[in-house]
Amino acid sequence: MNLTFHNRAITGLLVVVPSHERKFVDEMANFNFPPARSLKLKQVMGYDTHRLVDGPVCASDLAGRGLRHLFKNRALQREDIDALVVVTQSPDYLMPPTSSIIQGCLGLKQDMFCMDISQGCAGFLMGLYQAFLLLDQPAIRKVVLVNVDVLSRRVSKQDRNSYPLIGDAASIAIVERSDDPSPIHASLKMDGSRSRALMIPAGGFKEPSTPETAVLEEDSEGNLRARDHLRMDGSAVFNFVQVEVPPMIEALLRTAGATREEVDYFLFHQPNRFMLQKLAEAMNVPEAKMPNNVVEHYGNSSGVTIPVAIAHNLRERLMTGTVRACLAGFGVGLTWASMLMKLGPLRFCDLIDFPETVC
Amino acid sequence: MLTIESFYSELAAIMEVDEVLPESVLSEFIEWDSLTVLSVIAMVHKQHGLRLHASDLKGLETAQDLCRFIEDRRGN
Repeated sequence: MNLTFHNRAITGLLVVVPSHERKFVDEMANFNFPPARSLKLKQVMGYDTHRLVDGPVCASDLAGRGLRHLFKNRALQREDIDALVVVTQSPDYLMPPTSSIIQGCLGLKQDMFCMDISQGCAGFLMGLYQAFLLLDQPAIRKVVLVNVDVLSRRVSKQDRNSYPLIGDAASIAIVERSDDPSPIHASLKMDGSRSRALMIPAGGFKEPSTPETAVLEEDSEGNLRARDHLRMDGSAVFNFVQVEVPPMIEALLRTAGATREEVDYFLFHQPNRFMLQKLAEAMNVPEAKMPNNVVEHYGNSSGVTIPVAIAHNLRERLMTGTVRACLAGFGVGLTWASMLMKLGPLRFCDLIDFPETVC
Repeated sequence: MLTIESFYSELAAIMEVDEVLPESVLSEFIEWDSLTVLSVIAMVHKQHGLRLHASDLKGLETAQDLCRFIEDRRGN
């Protein structure tokens, strides 16, 4: 479906990544594959360094670190937060919502709207849609959109399909009304019939975690993972992205009356370099306009990768100027979403570390 | 248009060998793993406009089997 918004803007962006850098080359010995093949994988997919939490660090820890940083630097006042939207696939608890945990830990006011959204790789777009809608209410002036995932804790270290690319991170986007009436065009499609292509089978009510669901099983390629672990049908997901995303972007640009050349950056979810190169190729977009360097520096942190791509690549430009950006997220659900909007100038755009000990 | 020679040379490029013959057994290439399968899927889509799933390739033994499979799918 097509969505349109007016007078909405992102006014600040902060990304939090764990300080501990892990190297793919140090992890290769965990995989049941010849080192030469793993090195080839590294080269093609862009695996190199990824940032993962140490120990029992939760979504609320990463998000809390970011929000406290903003309070301390006077980039955000506690009492100004009218809504807190937390998008995560790795909540602290099944209940209560992680947004309530964060509200309580940080001493935010009671007169506010807290909500969680269960979304993954399209989560930045889904969170923005929700934030934009909340701003229809006059009582809501400032929405804090948190995207956060610590999925490395549910990925098997012996799963070469998923472990090399996973990353943990949080982002905080401040979303407000703006004076700019030019329309923000967006689109959203969902296909629950393919929902099992990306899932963590055990740990919910359908299949509670037991000692049996923690047992590692070997797949046909030699990867070891348990039912408690994230699993991905790699080629189904690859095909899904290559089939669905290019026509979605084409339709979005047509609706907006914009050409590819008028878009400064295509800021897409960052599954791995290979998939983004193939997308750029299929869409006839120069690689310079579609950053694909998030996985090699930080890993794929699900719904946080678009904010990471922005903070890592465009900080200087967005602190002073404006770019016309086409955002797209695709994954868990399956969900695919895109948006054409102006980004910048931002009041802040930073990337900070999360210390190794829980704060 | 699926030209047989170019298909085998594309396979050879993906597997980083000098030559792939019709009778070459896919699983005997050191490079034949999930990454190669993904590269083949991407190549087949780009060159031949056809979407394959990794499971499609499981039962195929030789390069010629793969070539025939693609031709059948395309209705040639």
